[in-house]
Amino acid sequence: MPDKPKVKFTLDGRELEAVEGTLVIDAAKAAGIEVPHYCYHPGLGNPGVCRLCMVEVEGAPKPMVSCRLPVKAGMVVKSDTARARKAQASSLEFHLANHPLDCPVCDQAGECFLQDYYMRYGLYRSAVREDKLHKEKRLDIGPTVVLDQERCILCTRCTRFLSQVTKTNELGIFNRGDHDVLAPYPGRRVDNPYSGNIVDVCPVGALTDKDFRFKVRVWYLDETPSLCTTCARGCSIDLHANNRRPWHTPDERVVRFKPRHNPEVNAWWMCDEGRYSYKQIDSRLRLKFASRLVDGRPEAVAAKEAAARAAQELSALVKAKGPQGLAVVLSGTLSNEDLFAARRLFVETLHCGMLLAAPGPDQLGEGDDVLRRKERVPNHIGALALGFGARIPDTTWGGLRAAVEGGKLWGLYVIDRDPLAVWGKGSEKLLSGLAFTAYQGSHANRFSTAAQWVLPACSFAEEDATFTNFEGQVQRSRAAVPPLGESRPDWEIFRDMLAALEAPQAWTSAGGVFAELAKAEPPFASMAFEDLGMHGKRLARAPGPGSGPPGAGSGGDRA
Amino acid sequence: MSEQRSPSPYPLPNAGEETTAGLERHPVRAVERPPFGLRERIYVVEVWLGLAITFRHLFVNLWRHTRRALGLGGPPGAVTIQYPEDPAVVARRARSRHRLLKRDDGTPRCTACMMCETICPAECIHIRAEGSPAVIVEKRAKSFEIDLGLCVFCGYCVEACPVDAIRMDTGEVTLSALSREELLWTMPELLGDEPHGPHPLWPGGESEKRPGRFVY
Amino acid sequence: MGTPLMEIINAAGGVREGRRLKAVIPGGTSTPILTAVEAQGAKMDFDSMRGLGTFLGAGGVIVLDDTADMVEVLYIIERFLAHESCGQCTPCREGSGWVTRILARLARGEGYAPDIDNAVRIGDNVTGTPICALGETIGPVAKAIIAKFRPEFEARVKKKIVAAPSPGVEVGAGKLPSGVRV
Repeated sequence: MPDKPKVKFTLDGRELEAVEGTLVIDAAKAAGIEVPHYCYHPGLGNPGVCRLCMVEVEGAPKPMVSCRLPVKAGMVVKSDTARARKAQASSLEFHLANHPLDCPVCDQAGECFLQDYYMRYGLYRSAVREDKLHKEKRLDIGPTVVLDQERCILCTRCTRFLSQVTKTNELGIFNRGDHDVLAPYPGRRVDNPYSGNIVDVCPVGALTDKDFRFKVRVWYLDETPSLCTTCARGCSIDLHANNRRPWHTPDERVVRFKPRHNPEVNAWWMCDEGRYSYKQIDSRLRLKFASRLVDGRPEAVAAKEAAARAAQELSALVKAKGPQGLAVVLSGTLSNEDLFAARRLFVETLHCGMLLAAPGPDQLGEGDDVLRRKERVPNHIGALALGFGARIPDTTWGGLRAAVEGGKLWGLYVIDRDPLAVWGKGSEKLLSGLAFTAYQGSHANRFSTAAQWVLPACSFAEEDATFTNFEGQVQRSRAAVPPLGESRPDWEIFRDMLAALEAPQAWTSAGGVFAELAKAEPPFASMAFEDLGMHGKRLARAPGPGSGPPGAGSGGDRA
Repeated sequence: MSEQRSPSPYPLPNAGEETTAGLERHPVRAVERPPFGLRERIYVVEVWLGLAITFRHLFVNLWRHTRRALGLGGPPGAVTIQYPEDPAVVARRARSRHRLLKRDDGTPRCTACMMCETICPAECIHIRAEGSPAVIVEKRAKSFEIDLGLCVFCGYCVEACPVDAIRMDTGEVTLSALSREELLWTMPELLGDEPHGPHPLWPGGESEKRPGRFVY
Repeated sequence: MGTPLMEIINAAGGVREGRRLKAVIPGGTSTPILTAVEAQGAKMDFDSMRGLGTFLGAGGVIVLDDTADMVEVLYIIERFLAHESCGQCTPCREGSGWVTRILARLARGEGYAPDIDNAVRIGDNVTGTPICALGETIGPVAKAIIAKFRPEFEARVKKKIVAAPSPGVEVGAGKLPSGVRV
């Protein structure tokens, strides 16, 4: 299909080119010119109700709203003339006329579009001498959202999100004129799986997140671009960490996730399950120190020493009893680098007998056609691309249990999963027949309490790593906070184990591991760790058989 | 959260660039040193001149005290205040120990907006926020601590507060403590609901006897 | 079409016994008002109305005699417009309500001196920005009545303000009031 024709037009004195029919506000943004706006959202349409994005168009009798104005050849548009600025400032004054003076108690302070635009385009003295209109405040409209009707500027972004993206239509605007209010329809609550997004789109503090309420002021937070690791979609996120005022959030360093725009993965949205998965990073179940069970009680071991000693024990047992008796359970929660290092250790060096990598019933959840994938792991496609479950045969939980019961295994090395949870009550006794059990992961579980060796791994928020989503999009996670205790990236632990097995690797960073991976695996061939950018890059070749549901489309409504 | 800087009236250089921007306002001046001749090198002459200043103060004040004692009026002589038996003189608008204010209904005015904590250059104010069941205002401070050991008494917190919840007008400047922890004032103490203490070694043992105690 | 306005008024019975004509609204509350003098020469057609700075509108003629209180009249008109506002676009929604409340205070006798100019200024700011014609009428209606009957409004101003009058919205993004340094 041929490209649509481009036209030339002038914006603020600059000659620009854009596809005919592009909205002036979008063309301005592409040229780096900000036109203030509230109701327009690229993912939710342009109703043109806020009347803030006024620009002057040569030949037009009055300023026009740039979000409803398509570019035409030869158009001359100005957004910074006195007349345009006066129109913008007066529209801003109307938005603020009835807005309550809630800044000291409003969570949106610091990321509020009313505040930002006032400082940039307003800066006038208020002329309001009447009592402002009063509406309902602090309404609990759902498990995740609090509504303040007085602060609402009626931009309709939330109602449009709930009608266009989730198609659940919980919120509507009632009454007329300046008595109109945003409210849930009678008897409804905003409890769909994407409810947190209406807090993101709300430009003011009308819709606020219950979980984040009053936790910390946003200007204390540091943002790190990363990705969500809750399911195989891998939505791009910004990770917000409170490093500067730890007493505000003493139990957690990472205080929230916000979705980041990625046209190739998640558009502008993320699901609630992923949004609130930040709690896992600083959960009390995090493993911080390595230990070895001695006489049934865990004895602390220095992490580096633990890796070396565990490797030596493994090596001795492999020599004595043969590698066929070693089973390794891998997880789709491991990054590409971790899986590559695991393959080097367990497959190429130790030649372990059984492997389980695919997401079993312990890692499956509900999927839908908006964003959520049923595989609740971020990198099962990365595992497939590296051969696990394809050219390296995979077993099942049932097969693994049978092998343990049948006495065929002497060792079980589990990474980031819980066999005891899958096998059910009373399965601890299965482990008593094994000479070697090890758990490597970030969070404690039933298996980690029973395993002989526990090696702490760090969370994705504490490391630079790459994950491959269900469509083959390889995205970066970036370290936002330092690892807790002695936890380390999994690939580092495997590297130290390989060194203890006389097979040292020259990996000093995740980028180094990825470079070796890209050379070895053709689908990753053209990628460089530093160049994955903010959106990630797609694999050159689709991963092996079994990836994603066949024929189910590319993941649904991206709006 | 990226910092939002308002346009500055001064042209700022980019990071790493050299600039002469400040030199127009603060030009470098060469200062000539006074001569250091024989008279100065002996030192005795200079010592005598310095002592002369001291003795001049002595005699002038003696004279002034005598004049006033005789009822002749004239300017007052210098007086040494016998601190701590006599109270220290503190101007009304001088910045002294902080206090937190209450509304008419007895609740603290503080809404935990964090303006004071943010502007404090010493980062000595530590506030934790919580929701409030009050009808008018929905946020309040769960805890409000000031570490007076860090405080530089600049008064920015008073200026920043949008609801006049904190003032530095108690007139209390005697803030000595026997440990660093004792210099941490908590919210009930700043509100005046609880006495700050204990001070077991203070003469008399009760804080009421300390001079300059602010009456809430 | 083209019938003189006074003819229509007289045909309807004219002004009541003992009263004088004060003002006429030619086309319904959305149209700017005409003084009695202007009404004498007005003809009910598009061009004549345009020439007088108003328009034919819905053609609903409202005749006001000298017992009419113009502040009250403007308040009622703006209250009607605010009530009818759909609420979609911000200038009409907020501006109509704001002007109504200012006029309510003036009508009650609690007006400040800058209120009159403020009402006109708000009306001017609304003009040109709303989505539909209802919002566009808020400003001209207020401007016409205040311009033609200003002494009545000024008589209602009772409260004195000590501080300088509000400058409202001034152009100059990035400029803080003088003396304030960021």
